[in-house]
Amino acid sequence: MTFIYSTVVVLLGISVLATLIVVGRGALRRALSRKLLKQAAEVRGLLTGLRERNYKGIDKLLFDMRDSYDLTVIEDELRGLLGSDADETGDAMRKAFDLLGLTERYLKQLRSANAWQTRARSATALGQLADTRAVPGLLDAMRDTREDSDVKLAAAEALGHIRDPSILPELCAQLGNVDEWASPRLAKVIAGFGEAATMPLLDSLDAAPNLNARIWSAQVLGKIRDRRATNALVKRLNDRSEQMRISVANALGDIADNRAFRPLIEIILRDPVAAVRSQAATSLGRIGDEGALPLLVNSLGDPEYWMRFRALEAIEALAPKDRSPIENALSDSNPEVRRRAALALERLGALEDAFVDLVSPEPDKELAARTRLIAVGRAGLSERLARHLDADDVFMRERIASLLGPVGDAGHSIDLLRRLDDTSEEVRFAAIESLGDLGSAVACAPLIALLSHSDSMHRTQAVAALVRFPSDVLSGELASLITLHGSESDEERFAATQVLGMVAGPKVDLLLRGSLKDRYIEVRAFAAKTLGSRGVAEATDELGLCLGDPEDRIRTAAAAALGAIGGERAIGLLLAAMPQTSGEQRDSICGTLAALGYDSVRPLLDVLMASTDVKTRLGAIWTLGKTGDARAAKLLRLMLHEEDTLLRSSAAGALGKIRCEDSLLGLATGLEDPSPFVRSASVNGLGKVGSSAQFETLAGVLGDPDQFVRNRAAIAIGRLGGDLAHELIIDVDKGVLDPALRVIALGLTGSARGIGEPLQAMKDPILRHQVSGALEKEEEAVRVVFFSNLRPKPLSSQEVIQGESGLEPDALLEQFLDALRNNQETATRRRAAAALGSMRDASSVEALALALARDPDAEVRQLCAQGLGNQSDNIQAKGALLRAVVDPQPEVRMLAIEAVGGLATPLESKAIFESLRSANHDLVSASEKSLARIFSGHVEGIHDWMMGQESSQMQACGLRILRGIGDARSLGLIQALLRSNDPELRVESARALAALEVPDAIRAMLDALGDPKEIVRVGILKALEGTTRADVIQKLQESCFDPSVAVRKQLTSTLATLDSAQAVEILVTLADDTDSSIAGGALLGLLRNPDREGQHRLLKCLPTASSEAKKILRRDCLDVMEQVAEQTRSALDADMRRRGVEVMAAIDPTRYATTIAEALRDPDATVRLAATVGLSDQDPERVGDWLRALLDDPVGEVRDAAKRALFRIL
Amino acid sequence: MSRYRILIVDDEPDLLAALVRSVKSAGFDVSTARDGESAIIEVAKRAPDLILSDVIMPGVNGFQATRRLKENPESAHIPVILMSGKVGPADSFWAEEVGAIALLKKPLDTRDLVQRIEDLLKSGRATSTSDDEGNP
Repeated sequence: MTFIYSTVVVLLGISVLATLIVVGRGALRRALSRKLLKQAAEVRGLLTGLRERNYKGIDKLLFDMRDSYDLTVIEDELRGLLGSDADETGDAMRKAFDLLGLTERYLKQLRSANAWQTRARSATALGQLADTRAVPGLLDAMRDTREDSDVKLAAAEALGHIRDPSILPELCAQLGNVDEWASPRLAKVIAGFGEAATMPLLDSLDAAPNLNARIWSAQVLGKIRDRRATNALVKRLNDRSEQMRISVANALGDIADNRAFRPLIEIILRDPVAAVRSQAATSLGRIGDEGALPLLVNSLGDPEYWMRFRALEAIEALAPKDRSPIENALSDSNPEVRRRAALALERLGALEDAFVDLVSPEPDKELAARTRLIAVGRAGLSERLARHLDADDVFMRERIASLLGPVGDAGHSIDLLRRLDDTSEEVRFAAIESLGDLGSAVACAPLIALLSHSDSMHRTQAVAALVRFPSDVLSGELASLITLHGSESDEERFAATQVLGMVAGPKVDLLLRGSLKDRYIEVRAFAAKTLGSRGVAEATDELGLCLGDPEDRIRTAAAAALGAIGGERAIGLLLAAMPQTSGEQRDSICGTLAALGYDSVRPLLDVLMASTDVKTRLGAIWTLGKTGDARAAKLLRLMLHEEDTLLRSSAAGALGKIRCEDSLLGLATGLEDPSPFVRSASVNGLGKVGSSAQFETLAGVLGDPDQFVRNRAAIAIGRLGGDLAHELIIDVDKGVLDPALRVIALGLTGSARGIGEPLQAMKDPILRHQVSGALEKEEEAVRVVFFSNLRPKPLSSQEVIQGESGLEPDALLEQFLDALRNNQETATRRRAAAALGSMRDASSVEALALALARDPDAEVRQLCAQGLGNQSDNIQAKGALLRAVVDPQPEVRMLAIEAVGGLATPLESKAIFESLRSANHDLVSASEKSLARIFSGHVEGIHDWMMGQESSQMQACGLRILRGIGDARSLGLIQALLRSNDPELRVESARALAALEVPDAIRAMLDALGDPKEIVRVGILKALEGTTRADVIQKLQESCFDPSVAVRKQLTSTLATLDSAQAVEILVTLADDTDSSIAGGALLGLLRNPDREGQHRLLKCLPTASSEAKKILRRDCLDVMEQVAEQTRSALDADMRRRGVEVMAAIDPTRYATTIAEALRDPDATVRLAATVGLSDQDPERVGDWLRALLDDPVGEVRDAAKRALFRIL
Repeated sequence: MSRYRILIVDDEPDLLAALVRSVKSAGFDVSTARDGESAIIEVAKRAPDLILSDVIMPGVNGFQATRRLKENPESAHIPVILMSGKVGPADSFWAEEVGAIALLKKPLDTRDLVQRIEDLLKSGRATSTSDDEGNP
């Protein structure tokens, strides 16, 4: 009991004690808290007072406080102050934290405290203190991959607070470390310094060894937007690293300094990396200079879609008035680019404009808006369009309904079906048509229901829509269609038959065969046509019966259908029908037969050729022509001899469809036909299947007595095309051809030089009307070529048919101008430049000048330079050409230099003088010629310039310019240079003297023949070629003994050009030269010499000449021997002909045997005799027959010579 | 000695009769047919030494019949002379194309025709079936 009692007492005691401890601790903690709170309030009060005194005396106060108050309280209160107005605390606060040892602690804890909260708190505090000593630690924390992310963030933020510029170099250097987390934050910190960071960043950009650091520097410079960085960044646009170039381009866009405009353009033009180009494009847009537009527009043709995308962004940023480039991008091959273009248009407000234009009463505006909105819809913004289906404006509803079909999003079928109940008939029709485009199953039944509509237009529209539906969709509604097919109403049956025609399967075949007997002609015609296209062989006999249908349309359709079905039975039916055919039927049948191929056609021709019936024989001709097989040409050629003119002209027409040698021969025969119809058909044929080899033949037909034939010949020449065709037509007297057909023929040539005249001709409204009328009568192919040639971009047949082929001259001109200014395709701009250049129209000068200055394609610039050169009297043209003299492309420079030669004044020629320093020989030569023209009459200008030149190369240029001018006032200067130490200059001087043609000049040249340098003597002799002065020839004789072989060799060449007996004599002397190359050259000189005595002396020299010299003569005489052959054939003087024969026989009788043999028929006996002798050593098999023919020669001497020759060779 | 046998094909009875008279009187044996199809059947029954056929006939015409005969190895060797009222260069070419050796213009000069037949057969161009029977 006692034990229990004791235990209870002890337990109670323990619980009381525990309670006391708990209560005591709580009281103690409360008391301590109260104390600390009290201390905090006191410290705060003291610090507030201190703050009011701008922290004056803070060190003393803290010293006192340290003993009186808890350090943690002081730290917390100081941190509170740091957090509230850290900027104002400045040095005083840093001093305070230092004094209390807190900064030291933070620096230590930042990298070594165990708790992340402590490290983060330290980082934050150090940042608030903006203590630069913290920078290494903070950077270290940022870079530490194992560090807690909150600590890293706190370190980054802390760095951002330390705005001491002295830390910038260190920060910039840190940019070099690749750290995905830290680098962007560090960049942000540096950017926070603003312009203070520009210089350190520029240093880093310039000199940082690490590429990463340089790239980040560029990016941060962009963010700071300090224009001082522009130049340094521009330099880096050519950095080897593409990432660097991208960053720099981006930074330049951020800075948006106009000075970066040109360099960025260069990047777009030249940088090989699409990403760099695209960034440059974006930046150009941000710079906002409209001058960038042409280039950005051009970039829409960049092969990289990303570049095009960026270019669109940039263009959008520039908000150009002309949105056509963006609109063009709606048809880009890449969907993202298309969508971006649509968005750009929307953001620029172009869509709203388009909606307004869509309901415009002006058809052009409406059409343009429609095209634009369809493209926008296709680019992915169709929802924006569909919203307008519920518009109040009936026109808007109708037009939106009509364009949703072409947009092609089947999801809008439901929207369109709602419009089938629209109050407006136009809206309903538009919806039906678009539903046809979309072909959605959901619309099938509602449209079939419309086939029974009381209004014929609704039925027609529904049929037109349904026939475009996929067969499987229509099959789902076959039962309804069959019911309609059995309707009593002709129109309903017709409608149903048309739709059924699109459904596959034998069931429908059977229905269509039944329809061949329908009472309604439209149903029968449609059924026949459809059975053919479906190739229903079971319908052959039924279609055969239709060949006897009273209606021509049915007969034609049946013929076409049988052809399409094919097979022996069908073909037999067609052949039998031939005599009763109309032209249209025959065309259809013959086309069908020809499609079987020539081998299959041959047995069929047995039937056609066995007939005397003209229609049947026409069938044979048409079929042969349509095969296009060369084997058919022989028979067609023979059919050109048919008695019937129609058959002959048809045969010529058919030959015009077959491209082969036989055809061309046949057509050439047809040109001799007595009937102008046959001749014109032959000419047409040659235009279609001929080539440039037929130009001569066709040019002869331009003199045909019949004007119709002449006109056709011009058209044929035009169709063959090219510059030569253009020249042939231009050369014809205007009265010979119909003016309209002449214009068409010129347009057909397609010669870029030839576009100008037709375009100019169109300015005459009467002629334009005539051309229009004449074109209507031409084949479609001719119209397509003509209209295409007159445009910057070829038209399709469809466009010509649809009438997009006006001949309005201003509109045509505008198209070329627009193409040159804006078209993205280089080929189109080239064509436009060539056309505008050939037009010589003042209105094109501005566009040509602009393109010459700006177009990125060198060939376009070349064509512009050529074109402007044609307008020499235009000041603007001249200015543009003068600017182009410094074009980066040498070819363009050359053209500009050549063109300005006739325009510029000496004062404007500075840039041309600069071109003389080019390494491009052609460019230098063009510059020299141009300067010669400019300074003609101002030769002293060249003298002055030469005097200022130290380089002998420039002085040589000057001498060549003086040679081009040929002004006697240059004599003194050139003579002085003839004494130059530089032998090259002495040679050029001699040449320049030769051009002066004054006695003193020649004398100076002759004196220089004693020059010690061989090349000078050779040069002088060359310069003397062609001179006629006796004293010169006298002097040349001395050169016979020149020790240099090269000089004597040139002497033979010079003497060969001198028409003088004395020159011939010197050559005879040289023919004995010990050097065989000189002797051979002398023999050749005798052959070439224009003096009649030359050939005579050659014949005398040859027997004694060395074999080596003769070999050289034979090798080098080929060109001059052509002249000798011509002399043999056509010289009026028999002696000359005979001499020619003798020369050929003496030099190489085997090579020239054929030409010598021609002389066997010469009217002069001495020529025949010479030819006989000349052939007397030749191969008997080759010349035997020729010589035998002379055995009957009327002249005995010739007969005897022939006998002797034959005796000798046989 | 067996005589050469000529197959004459024409759809006009009067002309056929006249030709038969002329050819027979020249000493040849003659068989006849009224169109191309009959001629092909006749040849199949007994091959003649030469065929003289009109071009324009109902059904199978002269060109078609000649082509078919030439395509058949059994009859390809038989020379065919065609006759037509229309003989231009193209017709002659086509006659040659189908395999005939000549296209003669109607009306025919019968003496000239007989002379041609004789020359042809004597020159050996006609490979007579009579050869098998020991005839020239």
